[in-house]
Parts: sequence; C-alpha cells; structure tokens
Amino acid sequence: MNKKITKQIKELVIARLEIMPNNMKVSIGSYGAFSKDDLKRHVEDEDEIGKKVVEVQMAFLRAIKEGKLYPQE
Amino acid sequence: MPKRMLVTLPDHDITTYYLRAWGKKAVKYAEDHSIEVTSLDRDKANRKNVESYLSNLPFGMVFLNGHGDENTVQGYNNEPIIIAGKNESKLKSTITYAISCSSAMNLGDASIKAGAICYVGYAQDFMFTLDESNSTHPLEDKLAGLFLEHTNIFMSAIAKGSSVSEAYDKAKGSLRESIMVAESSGNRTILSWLLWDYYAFVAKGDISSRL
Repeated sequence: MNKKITKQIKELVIARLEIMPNNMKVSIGSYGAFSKDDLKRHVEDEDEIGKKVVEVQMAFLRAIKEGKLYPQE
Repeated sequence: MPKRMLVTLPDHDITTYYLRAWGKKAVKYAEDHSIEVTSLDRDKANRKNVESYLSNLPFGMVFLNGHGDENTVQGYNNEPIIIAGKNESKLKSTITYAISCSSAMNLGDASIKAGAICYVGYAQDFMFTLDESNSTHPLEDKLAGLFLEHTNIFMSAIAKGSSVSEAYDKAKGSLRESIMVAESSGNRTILSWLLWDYYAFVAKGDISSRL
C-alpha cells in the first residue's frame, strides 16, 4: 500500500484503535507486537506498519459495507 | 503416506514464543494419534536441519511455525528455511501447513508445482492479538486463543485422519466462531484482525488428501 493516507482515513483508523483495550497488543507479521499507542504512532507516521494497520482497518470497513462481516464459508 | 511429521518451533520473539506454545499443543495431538514427530525446537529450527531431515526421511506432513513472506518460511532468528525458487522441492509429497505470513501466496504455489501434495497457510500477513498481562502463559491468553485455536483445530483434525479439506473447513469454522465471540464481546478492533486472518487462510493443492 504505497498511497499516502488521507487525513480523514488516518483519523478514522486512529479512532478505531482508540477503543482497543490498554492491555492488548497486536502481533503483526515479522514487525513485532504493538500496543494501542504504538499502532496510533505508526499510523500517524504513515510507515510500513502504519500502512498495514490502515489496510486491515479499511478492509474491515469494506467488509461491513459489503455485508461480509460474518462469513458463511 | 508416512505418518511422520516434521515441525519447526522457533522461539526468538513474542510472536514465535506464542506460536511455539500453541504449536506444541498441536504436536501433542499428533503424538497421541501415533504420528511420529520430529520437532526442530528453538535454534534447531534452521535451514540446514530442515533440509537434512526432509532429504533423508519420508515425512507425510510438515508443520512450519515462524515468520515469513510471499516467498519464504523462516525459522530461528528469521533465517529463511524454505525458499521459493531454491528448496521448495523439499516439500515434495507432503502436506504442509505453514503458520507464517504470506507464504501461501508464492511459496505455496511453487511448492505444489514442485510436488507438494498440499500447502495450507496464509496469503497475507498473519496477525493476532495478545493480552500483555498473560504473555508469559500463551495458552491461557484468551485474546490470542481467538486467533490461534483454529491452528490446533486444523492439526487435531489432520491427526485424527480428516482430509485436508475437512480439517480446513473445521479450522475456518473455528475462526467464524471467534468472530462471533469477538462481536458479542463488543470488541470490534479484534474483529478487524480476525477477519483479516479468516480471509488470508487458504488451502492449495489436493485437499482431498489425508495423512
């Protein structure tokens, strides 16, 4: 994902990350495990990890829009 | 197909620490069902050992845990151990399950072209959540369990004689259950990572095969 992240998308993703419990970390591939604050920082910085986080969150929102949140198979 | 399984269980960071803990549970399922298991644990999960065992003994199943990318599965300290274009033929005649980011994308296809029976894995980065307060007890970590239980469901089904297709369907079902649990708990951020893994989890090759 090489496109610059728009301000609107950044704010949306950070708002979604904000609701993560404080004790939760996310292991993202080879990058490591990140807390809520780590992930927010990466999204702000628009680095590789931040772009991956945005990709996952946008895929999720698309799934809701397309009615694919509860896959049947 | 020989009822013999090769497993890699590197353990050099928090991610592989969790995969190793859950992977050892899968190994127990195999041993309980009379599958002979060769475990390459921690720093033994290296390319030299993997190639040596696969070259010298007939394995029906290869279970790889570790980091990866589209073209590799990695072992201890992220050393590439199976590499598309270099040694994927080592997986010839095996059912391979790789809990490894993205390797099902290119390496999976290359392995099957080189004679692997099946390649089950993830076509994108594999992600999971963990509870920091439980991180020294990965098997008791309920957050991680939502993501990793399906790996044990798959391995348990294979150990019991299910086809890859049947085991894969059960594992997908487990991920769907995790999605429902996450939804009912109101934790929608977990949902996003779970859904990602759900769609990333793929099975390629002759999925009617069984160990």
